[in-house]
Amino acid sequence: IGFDLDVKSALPSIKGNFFPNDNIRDLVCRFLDQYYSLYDTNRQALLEAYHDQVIFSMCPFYSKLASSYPHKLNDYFSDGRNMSRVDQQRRQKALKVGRLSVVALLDSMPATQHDPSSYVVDVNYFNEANGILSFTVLGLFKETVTKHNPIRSFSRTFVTQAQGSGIVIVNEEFMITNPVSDQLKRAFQVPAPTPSSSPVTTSSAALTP
Amino acid sequence: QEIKALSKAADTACEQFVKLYYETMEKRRHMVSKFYMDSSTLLWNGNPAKGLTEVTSFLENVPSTKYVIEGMDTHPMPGEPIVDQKSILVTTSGTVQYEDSNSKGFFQNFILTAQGTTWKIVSDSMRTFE
Repeated sequence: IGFDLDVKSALPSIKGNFFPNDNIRDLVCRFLDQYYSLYDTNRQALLEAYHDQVIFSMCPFYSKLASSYPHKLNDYFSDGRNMSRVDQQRRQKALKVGRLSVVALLDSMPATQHDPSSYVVDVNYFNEANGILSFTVLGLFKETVTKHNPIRSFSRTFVTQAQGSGIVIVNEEFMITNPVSDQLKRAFQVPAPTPSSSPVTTSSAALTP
Repeated sequence: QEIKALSKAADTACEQFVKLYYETMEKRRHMVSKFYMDSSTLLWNGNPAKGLTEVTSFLENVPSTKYVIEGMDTHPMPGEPIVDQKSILVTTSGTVQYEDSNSKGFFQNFILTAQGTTWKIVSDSMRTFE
């Protein structure tokens, strides 16, 4: 005989992309579409996407869940700013301020091809009064020139400001790690258009404008 | 210059926040409301919650958790854009275990803002993956 206190609370089910409204969805999808097509082909051209005074940092880390993945993240560590690993001096050096240094760093990183079907997008902050919009993209990319073409899992949080009819990045934090086995299985597979696929996969179809 | 000092302050705040926040989630869940304010928002795997009451009741109902932080980064937000106060962006990642289930990977980010002498969460956004 037990007690009534041993109630297990359930986790809510996992939902797809979160956009507060359709206008923001369209704006963010258009931005990501343009941003990643340039990122994969001509990173210098991303200068226009960044504010003069943008603050950027990159955080590579190994996840124990992906510990069997053989491809090291060595290309990222010299400019990495994982605070659980690097000291004060390295932290300062790894904080990139201004769009020239940000784009120079991006341009020095391995060439990539992104997998749009892997994206999950969350708009976490939106303020009409000051034009600030913040969102996170999770997804996968492949290194196209690196030996063995490793696949990486990433999270990029963009804080943007309204400018003209578009938006410009004022803060960005870019996390990079290795994929877990389920992510690898789904990588670069266009999702089957059946309603039975997982909620995350189905809803990422919303990213196609 | 100014950014250097702001960045150092952000680093200190981030380190304290990450330690306290995940400890509170693990061991003192009933206190977690102290991190949030009336205008806070939360996203948990695409599920939104808005306002202190909603956010707190959501978090209090999440099963017991165990976190391992593997990546952590922060910087100051320029131009104090969120409110008319100092704000920082914090990102974390690692693994989370809910009750007896398998460990999942997660990415989480927070916007924190200084209210007087206290940091409060403006937005909290989390995704798990496995």
